[in-house]
Amino acid sequence: MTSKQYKIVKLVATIFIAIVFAQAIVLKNYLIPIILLIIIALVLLVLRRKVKDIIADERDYAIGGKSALLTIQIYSWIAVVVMVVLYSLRDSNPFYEIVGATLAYSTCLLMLLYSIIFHFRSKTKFSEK
Amino acid sequence: MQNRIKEFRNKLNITQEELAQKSKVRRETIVFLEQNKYNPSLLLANNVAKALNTTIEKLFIFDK
Repeated sequence: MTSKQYKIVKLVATIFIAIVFAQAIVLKNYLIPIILLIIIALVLLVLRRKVKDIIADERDYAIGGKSALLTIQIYSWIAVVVMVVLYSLRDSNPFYEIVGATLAYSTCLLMLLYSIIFHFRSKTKFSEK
Repeated sequence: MQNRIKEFRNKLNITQEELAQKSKVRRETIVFLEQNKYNPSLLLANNVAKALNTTIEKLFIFDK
């Protein structure tokens, strides 16, 4: 399998998952899309191993790492500002507090995950893969 | 850091795609290397040098 074929399969799978999730919200059935997501993720994982071309190399990983770090930093700042604004306006709409809390906890989880993974990767032998 | 990858590649008459496959990277990485827009790791530099039948010292010019 070539990398181009894999990208097409991945794109089709993503579109299919999006359609199924949209329908699941309408039909209020959340089990099927979750099962489908797991199955498709496993299928894509298997297909990726069969790709003979190089999908990503050290340059992609380096750029991806820097991009991810900057994204986390920007997202965290935006989330904190939005959270504070929402909390300050919670008297006008009670849902603001729920959204603010969700933002706060998701940001904390993101930063916690980043710290754990960074700590783990810095302790293990560094390799390009 | 400058390099002579394009010069050595043309001497051996191989394409960027062939060099990329021998070096186990994508063609885009070879393009960026030749344009001096990317500094490779030691491993990649060694792989490229081997693929071009030369050494790192001859292939890469370190700025003083």
